[in-house]
Amino acid sequence: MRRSAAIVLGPCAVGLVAAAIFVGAAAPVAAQVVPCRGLTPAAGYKVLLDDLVFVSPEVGTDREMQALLDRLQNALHFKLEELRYLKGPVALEVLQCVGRKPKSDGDFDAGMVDALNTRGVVLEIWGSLDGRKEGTRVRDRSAAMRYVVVPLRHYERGSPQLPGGYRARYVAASSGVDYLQLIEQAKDLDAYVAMGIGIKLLKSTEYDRAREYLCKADHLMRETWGEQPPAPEQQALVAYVTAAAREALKGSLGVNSAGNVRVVGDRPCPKASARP
Amino acid sequence: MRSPVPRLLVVLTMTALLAGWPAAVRAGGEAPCRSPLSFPGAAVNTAVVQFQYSGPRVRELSETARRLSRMVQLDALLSQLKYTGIGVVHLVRESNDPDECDPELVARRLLGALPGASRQVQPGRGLVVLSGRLYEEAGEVYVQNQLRFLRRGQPERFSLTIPGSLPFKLEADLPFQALSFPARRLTGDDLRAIDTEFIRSSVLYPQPAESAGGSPVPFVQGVAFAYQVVEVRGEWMRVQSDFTQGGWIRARTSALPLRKMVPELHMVDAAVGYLEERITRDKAASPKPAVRAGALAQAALADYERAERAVRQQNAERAVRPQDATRAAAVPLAAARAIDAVLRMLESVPPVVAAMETARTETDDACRLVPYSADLWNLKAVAGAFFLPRGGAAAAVVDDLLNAAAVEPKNRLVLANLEALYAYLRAAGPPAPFTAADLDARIKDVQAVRAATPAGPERR
Repeated sequence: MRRSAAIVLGPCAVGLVAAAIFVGAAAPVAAQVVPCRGLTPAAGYKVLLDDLVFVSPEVGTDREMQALLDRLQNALHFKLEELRYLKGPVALEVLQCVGRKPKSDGDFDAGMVDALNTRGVVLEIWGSLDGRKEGTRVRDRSAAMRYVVVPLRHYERGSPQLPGGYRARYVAASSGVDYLQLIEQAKDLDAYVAMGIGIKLLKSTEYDRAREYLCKADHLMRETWGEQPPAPEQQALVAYVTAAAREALKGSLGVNSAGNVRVVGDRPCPKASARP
Repeated sequence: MRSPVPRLLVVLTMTALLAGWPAAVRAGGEAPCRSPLSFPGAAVNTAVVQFQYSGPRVRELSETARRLSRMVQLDALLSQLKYTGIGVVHLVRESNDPDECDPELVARRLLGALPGASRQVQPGRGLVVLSGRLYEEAGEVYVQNQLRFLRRGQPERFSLTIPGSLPFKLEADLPFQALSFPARRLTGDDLRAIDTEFIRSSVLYPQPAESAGGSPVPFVQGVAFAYQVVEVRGEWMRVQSDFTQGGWIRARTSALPLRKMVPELHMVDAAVGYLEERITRDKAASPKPAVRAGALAQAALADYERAERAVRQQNAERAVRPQDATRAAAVPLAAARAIDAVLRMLESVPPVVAAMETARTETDDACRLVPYSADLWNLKAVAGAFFLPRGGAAAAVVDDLLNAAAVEPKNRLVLANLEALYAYLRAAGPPAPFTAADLDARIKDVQAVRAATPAGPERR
C-alpha cells in the first residue's frame, strides 16, 4: 500500500486550526470501494464525495451523517462554483457516492484511476470525523480528510514525489465550528480541483484554458501554503503546477514560434505581489 | 397549469402597453422563463430568475423560496428607479425541468439567440441576469447567486488615449461580466421576515398609505404581466397596468435587511448603472453632465464592498476564518474594483489625474485579489500607462501587460496594447531599463505574434 503524503494547511487562524498528520489517521473500519453509482460518462468534470464516517458513534448517528453528506455536497457545489466562472468556463459537479469507502489512496490502482480519469473525475474525497461528546454538545471536532487528485495520479503514475493522494486534518478551535464548516472551508480542496481541471485541459491540449486553471491553482496553493510551502509534498505540488502552467504557456504560444516565446518568455503565472 | 387563453390575452394587452411607453421607462413584470420578456424602451433590462433548487434530490421550492426571488425583483426595481430607463422582470418556472430557468438559456432567449422571448432585448441595450441556486435545510436557506451583465451585440470594451506630446491609444475589456457570489445563509428569522414583508409588499393601495386599506396584488402562477411605475414617493410606487386597476405598492425593502443578507443586490444595481452609463455615452457626442448613471453605479459598488465586508465580519464572529470569506468573494470584489476603475477612466475626456490615480489603485487591488485574469492586468496597465508622460514607471506598465500576456498569450487586445506601448516608449526616448534596440526587437516580435494570432471567437 502506498503511503500518502501529508498536506499542511495554512497558518492557524481564528476559530479553526489545521494540523498535519504524516502517519496513521484512523482508517474507517470495513472499508470498501464500491463503484460510484452516480458517476456517468456524461461530459464535464466531477468531484466525488464518498462516505464519511464518525470515528466514534457517540459523535453522530448514521442519519446525521447522511444529512451532513447532503449538506456537504451542496456546500462543495457552492464552494466550487467560482471555478466554473473563469473566462474559459467548465462544467463541474459534485457527486455523492453512497456506500463508497476507500481505505486509503492505495485502493486507487491504475485501472480504477484510469476509469475515473476517463469519466472526468478530478478529485475524490473521503474521510472520518471525530470529536468528544460532553453532554449534548460535541467538542474538539476534527476531520481527517483524504483526497485523490485523479488526473495527477493518472498522469504521474509511480512518481514518489507526486502520489496524487493527500491527507489533511482539520481541527476546530472552538465548538462553534461544525463538521460542515470544517470541511467546507478546507483551503487546499479548491486548489486540488483547479489543478485537476488544469491538468485535464493541458492533456487535451486546450492550452489557453489549461493555463488559466493552472495559474488559478498556483495562486490558491500559494495563498494556502505560502510562498515557501513547508512540507516537501506541498513543494512538489507547487513545482508541478508551475511546470504544468509553463507547459500550457508553451503549448499556447506554439513551440515553433520563437517570436511568440520571446514576447512573454518563460514567464510564470502572475502573483499577487505585496503592496510596495 | 395555466390555460393558454389568459396567456394570449395578457400578451396582447401587454404588447399594447409596451408599445405606448415613453422613452423614460421604469417598469416591472413577471413572465415564465420559457417566454421571458423585456421592455424595449428600457436602456437596461434586469431578469431576476427564480431560484433553482440545489440539492441531492429534486425538490419543489418552498413558498418562501419563491417569495424570496420575488422580493429580490421588487428590491431591484425599487433600487433602480433612480435610473432613466430600466425594466425588471421576475422570471418564474412552470415545471421541475432544470433547463427551464437555466440562466444561460434565459439570456439567450432574451438576446434572440434562442426563440421564446415575447420581447427581446434590443441591440445595444443592456441585460442583467440574476439567478441563484438555493438549498433548504432544517429551516435555514443557503443561497448562491450568479450575475451576468452585457450589452446586446457589444463587447464591454473601452479605449483610452494617453494624452501628451505623443498620444497613444490603449484598449481594455471589462474583466468580469459573469460572477458567482459566495453562498449566503438565511436563518429562520430572516425567512420569516421575508415572508412577512412579502405579504405586506403584495398589496395594492388606492393611496400611498397603509391606512388607506388595500387588496392583494393578483399574482397568478405562470401568467405573465407587466406594469409601469408612474410615480415614486419614498418606498411607495404607483403602478399602472391593465392586469388590475393599478395603485400604490409599498416595497418596504429598507425594513427588510435583504441587502445585508444578500450583498450582491448592490452589484445588480451597479451593473445596471454601469450599462446605462455606457449606453448613454455611446449615444451622446460628448459626455453627459449632471448626475450620471455611472456615479450612481459607483455608489452601489461602494455599498457592495461595505456589505460584503460586513458579511465577512459576521462570518468571523461565527468562528470561520475571515480569509476564507475573502477568498470566496475575491472575484466579485475584484470585479467591483474593476467596474469602478473603468467608470473613473470614462468620467471625462481626457481623464483627470485624480480619477486615474484612483483607477490605478483600484486595479492594483483587484490584481492582488485575482492575479490570474489577463483582462484585469490589462486594465491595470491601461490605468498605469496614463502616468507615463508624467514620469510614471514604464517597466511596471510593461510588466503588467506581460502578466496579462502570460495568462492569455493570444489575447489580441493585450498584444495590441503591448505593441502600442513599446512603440510609444521607443518614440519617447527609451526609459531605463529599455534600449532602442531592445524595443525594436520587442515590437517586431509582438507584430509577428499579432499577425499569427487569428481573431477567433471571444472567450467569454
